[in-house]
Amino acid sequence: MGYLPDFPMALLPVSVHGKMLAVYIFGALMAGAAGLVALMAVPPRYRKIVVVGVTFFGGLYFSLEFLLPHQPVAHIPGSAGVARFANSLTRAKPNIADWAMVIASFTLLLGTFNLFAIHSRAVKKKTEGWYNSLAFFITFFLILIVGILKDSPVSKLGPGAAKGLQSVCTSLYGILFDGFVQNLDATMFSLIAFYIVSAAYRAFRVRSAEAGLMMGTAGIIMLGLVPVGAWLTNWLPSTGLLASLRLENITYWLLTWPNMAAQRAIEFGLAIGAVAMSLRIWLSLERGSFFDRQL
Amino acid sequence: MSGMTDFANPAVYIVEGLLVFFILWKILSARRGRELFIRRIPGLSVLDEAVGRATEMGRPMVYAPGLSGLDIVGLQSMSIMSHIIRRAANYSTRVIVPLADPVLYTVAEEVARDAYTTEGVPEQFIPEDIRYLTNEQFAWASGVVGILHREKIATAFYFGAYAAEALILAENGQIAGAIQVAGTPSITQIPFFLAACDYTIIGDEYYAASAYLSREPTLLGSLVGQDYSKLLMVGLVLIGVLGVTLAAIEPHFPGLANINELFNKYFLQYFPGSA
Amino acid sequence: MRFLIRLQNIDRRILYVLVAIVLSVPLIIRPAKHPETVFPEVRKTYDTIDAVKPDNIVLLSVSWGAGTQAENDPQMQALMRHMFANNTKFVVMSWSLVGSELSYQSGMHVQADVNKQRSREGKPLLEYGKDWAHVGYKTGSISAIVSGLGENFQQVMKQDRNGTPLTELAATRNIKNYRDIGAVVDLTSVGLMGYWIAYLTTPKHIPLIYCPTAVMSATAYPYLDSGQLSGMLNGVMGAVQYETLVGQADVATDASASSWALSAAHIYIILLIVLGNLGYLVARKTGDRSGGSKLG
Repeated sequence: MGYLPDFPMALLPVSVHGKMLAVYIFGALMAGAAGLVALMAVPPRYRKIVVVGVTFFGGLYFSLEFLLPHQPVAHIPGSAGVARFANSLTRAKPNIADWAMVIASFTLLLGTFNLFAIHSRAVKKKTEGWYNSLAFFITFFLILIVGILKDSPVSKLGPGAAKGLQSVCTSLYGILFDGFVQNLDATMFSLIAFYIVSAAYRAFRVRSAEAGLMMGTAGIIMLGLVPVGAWLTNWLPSTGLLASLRLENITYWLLTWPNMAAQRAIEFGLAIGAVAMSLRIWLSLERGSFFDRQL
Repeated sequence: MSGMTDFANPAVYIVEGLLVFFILWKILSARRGRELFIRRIPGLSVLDEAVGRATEMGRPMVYAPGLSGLDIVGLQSMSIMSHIIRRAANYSTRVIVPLADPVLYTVAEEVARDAYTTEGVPEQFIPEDIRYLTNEQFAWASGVVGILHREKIATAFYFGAYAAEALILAENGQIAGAIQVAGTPSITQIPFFLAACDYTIIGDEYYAASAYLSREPTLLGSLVGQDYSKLLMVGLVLIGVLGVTLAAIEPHFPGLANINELFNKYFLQYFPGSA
Repeated sequence: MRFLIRLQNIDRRILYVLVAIVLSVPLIIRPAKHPETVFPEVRKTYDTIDAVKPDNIVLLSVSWGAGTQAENDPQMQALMRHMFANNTKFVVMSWSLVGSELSYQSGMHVQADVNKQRSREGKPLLEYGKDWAHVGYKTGSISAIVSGLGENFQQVMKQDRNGTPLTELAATRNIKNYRDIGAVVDLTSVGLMGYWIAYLTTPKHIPLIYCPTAVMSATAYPYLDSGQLSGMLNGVMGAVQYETLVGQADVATDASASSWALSAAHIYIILLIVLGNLGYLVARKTGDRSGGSKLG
């Protein structure tokens, strides 16, 4: 690929194959274990410094990458060097993406361990509803095995048997995925239709002028977004002043003006809240329990 | 040349610099002992009452951080969770935390363990109560609904990033008879929480929650700094509105000639937005 | 009078049965009629896809699963039809395990459907790998992945869902970085728009099209106004309007059936709200305080 970042990960090649892959995996495991042991050996006071430092430099990377000029600025001495540095930071982004994917994959494993711990205890202790936990194990292993066999070449069985096994697994996978996963997931979402009806019916009461206004607006938008809204007011001309009274046009006006103004206001507040929270975490100013505990 | 130079312009340096300055300045002055005021937020004032109710009924509570991962929203949720668990620990009330993100799960477990330890009751911490269910949105929702009904939950807290599953949880909590308190920065879900929960905190109150609950000077200072930052944004919006309006009426008023050009040159060009 | 008062407390089971009926009827009848109204953001979406250069790809980001399939899948299929018609190559990536499988199935389905038409017309048939590719499920920090793929597409995406290196697929062989991405489409039930805007599309001037579920669409208008979004398909209604534009106006599709089901359901809800309020007002007049909402 001809791609090698000069900073800060020049030591890490983009891809390794064959025996080198095993060497790299072994090396990474050893380095990880050594890092962990070293971190455990450090007194808690210094361990905190390590955590604070890693957080700070992680945040610093993205800040500098974003803020530093990527092209030399005329008449400013040293700006060419800054731009070179900024560009090397940008080139390291794909490696950071790789790291992010690898770390997240490990945590997925961690989550699975937790599921196993909870459900195996439930089955062992026969707590109320333990059979649900048993169902978890059965479905987990069933879809895991079927999923792997469906796509993997099982040539040792001989071509006929392998083909047979794969076709069985493919249809089993179809039943499990299309039949169960997909339908159960869709069922959960479709429940919203029912809940929306009962929640709207219960909560929408004209207790004040504001509530009345909100209800009227909701009614217009509900009709204006669907074909029936256009049908209700299609006797109005499609151009000219009267056209703006067509339901779909009122709806669009409501969405693009009053709605947009409110959305912007809330977004500003939320974004500034996020900036403040990011700053506190980046600079380790937060005194929440998980930032200030004994590490 | 790769890289993004468009956004690292003087306006970005000035605006971001000012935002950071306001927030840090207020944090530091609060840390030095300056008294700061925040208004009452009803949704947060009832947290004690909600915990008390579960205690009286002798039933557990649920704290659901939604689909949050290990990001700002998720970390804020963990911070609120820590406060709730600490209060629950005082009354020996169980808190079940169902999670949809494996990374956040590991953090949640640590936060919960610490909260119990801080209150001097580490033995109350039950690892199985911090549960990673799945990272599939609706499978997670059905898992939480199951917990709401099976465990006969007395109080449910929904603080975090929510999408379409918000209403599923809130309506089921309502059916199960739980007191429900919600807060989310996901704007689209706020109406559903408002309709089905007893108390809902809105918009950036979500980020104010930990300051409000802990009265920690750093957080209070940060909150006041955020208000100053908002004033800055309001100012920028006003300048923008004024500039655009003047540019629009310029053809009718010869005295305003070149105003459009000036506005573009000194203001608008530093705020590129369109792709 | 008592009957009117009781209208504010209709048993929720009755409401549920009725909503099931109201929604099912149009889905069974499957009307083909598509709406004539096309919202400006849907038109803009169409124009944005049309403007993608021939040697660029469109990147489809899938973060929906089976739950919102009814809304997001018609959006994706309508867009795929348009891109196939334009010979615009596209790459699908998924942030959801289930979504990865479903979006691949959908792609194959649209490809087969378009190929039927093409073989009738004697045109060359579409092929997976040549006209489009699917890189499967991605997990990890979205911000890191999104900004990383803009710098080095091949390194971050590596291979397609079947394990074939992207350098071996005709559709993706020449994709190096953000300069080869003509547009990004965010098909979502959880809202990843913010990541794309912050880390790739706005800084690199790539058009972003947002395809959320209907409930999420209201938040997108400020971004459409600022130009950070170059189009939006608002839930299944956006999909049905897009179908009108891509020549499916007279075909009975899932989206057209859904649009009429939605119409019926919206009228039903409005009716219920009116009835509930009727009961509430009568009760208030007669001083009956029973029932109603706990909200103030």
